[in-house]
Amino acid sequence: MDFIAPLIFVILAAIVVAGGLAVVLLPRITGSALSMGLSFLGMAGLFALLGAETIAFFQVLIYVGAITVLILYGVMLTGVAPAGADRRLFFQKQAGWALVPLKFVGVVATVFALSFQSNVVQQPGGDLEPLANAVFRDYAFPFEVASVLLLAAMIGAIALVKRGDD
Amino acid sequence: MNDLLAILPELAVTLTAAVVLVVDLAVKGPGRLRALSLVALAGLLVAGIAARPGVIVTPYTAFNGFVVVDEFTQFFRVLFIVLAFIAVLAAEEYSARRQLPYAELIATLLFSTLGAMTIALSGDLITLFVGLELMTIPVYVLAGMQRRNPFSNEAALKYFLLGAFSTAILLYGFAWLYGLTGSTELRGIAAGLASTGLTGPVLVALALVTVGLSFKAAVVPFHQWTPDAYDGAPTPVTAFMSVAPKAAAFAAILRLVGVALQPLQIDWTVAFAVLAALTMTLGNVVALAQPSVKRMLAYSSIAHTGYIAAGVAAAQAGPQAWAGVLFYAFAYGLMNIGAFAALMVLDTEGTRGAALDDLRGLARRAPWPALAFTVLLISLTGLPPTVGFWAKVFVFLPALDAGLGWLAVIMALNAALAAYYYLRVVVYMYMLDPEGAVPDLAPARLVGAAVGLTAIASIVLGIWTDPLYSWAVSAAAPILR
Repeated sequence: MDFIAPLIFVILAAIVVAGGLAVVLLPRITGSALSMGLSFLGMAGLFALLGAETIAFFQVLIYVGAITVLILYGVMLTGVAPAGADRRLFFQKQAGWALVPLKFVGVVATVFALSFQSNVVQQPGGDLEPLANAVFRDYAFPFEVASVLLLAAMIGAIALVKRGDD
Repeated sequence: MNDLLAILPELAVTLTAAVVLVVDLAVKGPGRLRALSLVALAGLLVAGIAARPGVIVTPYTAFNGFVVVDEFTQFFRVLFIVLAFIAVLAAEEYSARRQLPYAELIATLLFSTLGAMTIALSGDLITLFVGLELMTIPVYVLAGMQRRNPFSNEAALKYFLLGAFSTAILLYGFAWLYGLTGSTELRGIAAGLASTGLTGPVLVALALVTVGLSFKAAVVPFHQWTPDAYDGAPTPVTAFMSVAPKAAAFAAILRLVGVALQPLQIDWTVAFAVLAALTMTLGNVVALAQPSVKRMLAYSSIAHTGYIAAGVAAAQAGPQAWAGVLFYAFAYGLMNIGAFAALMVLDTEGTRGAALDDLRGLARRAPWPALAFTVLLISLTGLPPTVGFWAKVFVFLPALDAGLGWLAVIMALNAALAAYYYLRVVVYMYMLDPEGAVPDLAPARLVGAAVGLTAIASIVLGIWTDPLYSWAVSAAAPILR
């Protein structure tokens, strides 16, 4: 069974890389956004493979769910360029065909990665309690600095986009 | 409770940023900008008092080793607070003229200062990294604050893209260090590296970390973003971003090299010396050809990076080498932020930083700012009796002691080059007459105060050098074990 984990890792890594390539190569921004979701999904699988279910869960919840949807909303609200002539490069249609089964394999692999880790000893209450201890006690200082960073980024974003009197 | 006392200056700066935003909501009318400035200056004053030298009796750690409070921390805390203070002084009138969102500008500036202070106190790669991000991300925003100005947009975008890129490289290097030693704490890394020694993977980690931090400090050949970012950003922002992030990058380099990488006993001399020589020469040579004084100062700040790196290279000369680095960082911070502030005296609608020709005859139109600018330029050149002279001496002598005679020669030649383009500005101000009609100078009392303060500090610290130098020596002590 020793070869299964490396095999799954290779498949997941290939998905992450293929998704990343597709983000850059696809002509439409919606396609890029969806490929990014695929790449994130592969990352979630990698986290699951490492036995970090909480992170894998957050990865799916935040990155695959929220951020990808947010980008799609952003694309929707800003308007996409009208569909004109087919400006796809010669290999992009084929790449699209290749990506669909890859995504399917990714989902399957993620499921498998999760099930193969079921022998890890689970603490009562899940791993949320250690998470809380880490974030609010052991790593309290960097965590707080990171929250100030988010505040600063938020203020900065508002300062850059708000409609002022200029 | 002890933990909170350890970060008192940081808490003061954070609180000040929050209060600035609330005051922006509460106060309306013509006094709003002045009220915001006063709040920010008062908050920085409190933070400065909390971080004053001599408070720390014995070095200690807090927050599970994430925070290290020693004389090194205090030195950089005070430096960053002073720089933020001058930047706030210089920003108000400029922001009012250009209708920049002033409260957001001040708050973002304070957050960036907080990030720089966090770098100085970090005893752990995680703190170091979030501090670095907290310092740089607000500066991306600050650089682009002049939204309708395409140059400001260019500055923000270039700084953001290359900054994000270098951050990724640096973080990857940190990941390698963690993977090799199993610790993110600087002393833990030192312990881990003591047992592994210098292996191939360690070299990979070192290369990634060096490249990442060289980007942040704008060391040649990782300086490409600097001129456009400094030139396009609003001038008060340029003043701040040319000094604080650079000093913080060197604080990070010293902490890493002095504490975490210390057991490797690598001879950094040649690598850093070559980088230093390249950096100062390229910065100076390109600065010679600049018709815009703002751009000239941007390139010359690259040259000063080279001098600071020369001090890092001279580490073998003993403790005085890194004391020289700290002294140079402090002196450079004061001189350079003052020089950029002096450009704001000239700021009028429609000009984008002063062209050399705009400075013609400034001595007659504005005698006091011109005099202060002259003092700062003399200090940047490195002539006595200014602090810039001693800064050059304190990195020059260790370079000689470390056996880097060739580097010392290059430093001296570069100082001569720099004298040409710095003193040319003085010639334009005092000896040439303006051509055609000149625009009226905008009233700039606060900017004048900022320029005056830095000019006076340059002379006072140049004559009465010892307190700052002995403080730099004691601040360098904790990272030299």
